[in-house]
Amino acid sequence: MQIANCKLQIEETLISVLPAGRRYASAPASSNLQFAICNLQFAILFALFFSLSSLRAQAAEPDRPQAPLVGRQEPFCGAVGSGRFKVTTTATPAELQAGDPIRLTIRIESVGAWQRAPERPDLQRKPEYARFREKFHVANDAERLSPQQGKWEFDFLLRPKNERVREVPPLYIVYFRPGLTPPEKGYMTTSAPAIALKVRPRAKVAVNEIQGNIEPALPPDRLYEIVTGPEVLQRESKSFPNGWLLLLLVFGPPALSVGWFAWYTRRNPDAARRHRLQKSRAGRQALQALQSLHAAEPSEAARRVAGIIAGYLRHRFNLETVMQPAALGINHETDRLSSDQRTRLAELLEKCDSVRYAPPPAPSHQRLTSEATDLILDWESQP
Amino acid sequence: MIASSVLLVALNLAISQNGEPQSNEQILDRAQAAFQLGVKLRGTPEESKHFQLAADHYEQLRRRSLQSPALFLNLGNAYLLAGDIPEAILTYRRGLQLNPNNLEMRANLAYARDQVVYSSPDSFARPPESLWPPWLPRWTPGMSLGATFLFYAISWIGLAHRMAFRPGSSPWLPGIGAAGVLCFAIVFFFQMRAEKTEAEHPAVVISADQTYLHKGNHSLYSRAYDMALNRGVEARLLQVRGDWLQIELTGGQVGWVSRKKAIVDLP
Repeated sequence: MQIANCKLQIEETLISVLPAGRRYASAPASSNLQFAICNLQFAILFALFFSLSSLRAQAAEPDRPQAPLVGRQEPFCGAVGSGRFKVTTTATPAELQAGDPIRLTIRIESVGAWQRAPERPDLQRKPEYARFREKFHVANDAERLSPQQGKWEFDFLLRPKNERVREVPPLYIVYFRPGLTPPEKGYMTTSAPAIALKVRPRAKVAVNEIQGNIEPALPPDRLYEIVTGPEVLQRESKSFPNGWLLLLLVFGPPALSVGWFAWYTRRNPDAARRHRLQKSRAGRQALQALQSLHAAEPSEAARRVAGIIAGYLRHRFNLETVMQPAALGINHETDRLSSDQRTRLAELLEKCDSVRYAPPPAPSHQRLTSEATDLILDWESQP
Repeated sequence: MIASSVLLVALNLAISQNGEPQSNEQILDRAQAAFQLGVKLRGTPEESKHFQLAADHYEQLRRRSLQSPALFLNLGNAYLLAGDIPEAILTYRRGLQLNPNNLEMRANLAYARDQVVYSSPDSFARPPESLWPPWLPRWTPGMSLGATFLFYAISWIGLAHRMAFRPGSSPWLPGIGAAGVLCFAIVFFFQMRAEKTEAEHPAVVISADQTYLHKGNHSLYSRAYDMALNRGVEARLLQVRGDWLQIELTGGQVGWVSRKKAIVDLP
């Protein structure tokens, strides 16, 4: 009843939607949006049809008896029926060479009412049919299904793997008969007897019967080459550093580095001191700026030396005041500098001013640069 | 008494089949002579006998604890030309453990593996295909260790350079050194772990056709797989129980096989 209502609703929907879709499709000035809506409606229709068919299928399921999973016996062929099933096998030819195909036909016949048709026995995979695979190469072939007559025929192509094969093994199949309690008692086994075969070894091909010019694969020439000489008799092994070498590798690099550094500082004390004293960023930047003043004009260089020194003091000692030589003596911010440093700083700034404001030709500024460098290095040496 | 027994055993080991003590050089000469004779008889049915004889002599040298890639290459070639594919595969594998970058031995191993007949068209029991490009040298644990110490030295050099010339600069050279040490030490660790696993589970090669894996250590146990293994199929040993070996194929399939039907890479 529910299914019938559902079907009715779908048919009504179909009647109401289909003309609209046609109208959209046939309209001469239809837009892309209209086409999209039209397509969407058709998609909805298809989905409704599919859902209807699945509903019908689900509704039909309870009518068919299900074979219980628990206690299922193998090789179950899927057949369910209140009657019984009969299996027979035929194989042709009965005499052949190893490797030639035999057509094995499995016929399953229903005697009485049946609810589910048998499926093709899975000779290629099911472990219960391993005897077939040990003796034969198995391939599926045609099948003839006559459900109205209750007959199903499945063909297989079997190729005997050798001449020792004497028979097609007996075939067992399991089907289910509903109505018994407990349900697993309904699994019934039926079988077809083995079929005798006569398999001959393959006829040997005479040399004069060989056709084609494919040469047998020969080993490559490199296999016929051997290594000679004393290296054959060596005793090689996967060796890793022994204890002493390992110690040398671990402690060698640090010892060499420290030793070289000590030698370098001893050999170049000034350079070493200079590099060691470049510990503050302000000092490093100030020294780099001073080194770049070689090509500058004297007055410009003097101005920049004073600026570099002021900037350095500002960063290094947080001196906010822009210092003038005359103010150094009374500026309380310069208390952190020693009297000697203050004197040198005042002298340097005065020299800068004298160079800056001297009438041309201006004196050289190289001395100013070196004095400023020494002053910064002196400050950098302070803790 | 014990000393005389040891002396007797040593003498027995040193004395050859014809009763004369043989030096390694003499055995090597005989092996090379047999091999050359086999080469002269190339294409005839007699060649395999001489190659087998050469293989026996080379094997005698191997049992005297001589190990060199050249010896393993010669021995593998002799086995392969004598038709003994399983021993050839095992010998080439032993040689490649000593020198993974011996391209000739690797090519011969690939040829020997091509001769193996696999019972299944899929990847069952086949050796895994290496993704390593053949032209690229294999990275060995020794290389990893060397690279680790190289980067270790670089980091110290960088540290000394920084202290001497650039005290405040960023330590990029020591940083690169430390990163290299860390990377290659990790690679070395994993390589050594893989070697340890390989030593604990040595290689096994099936030596008889139509060998089936069983579920237990007796032929009365049912077969673990329907597919048969043929000569030359490689696996690794899991455990030994009596005359039966539990092996694992390259695809992870585990089963038992009789010791008579397999050769194990044991020293």
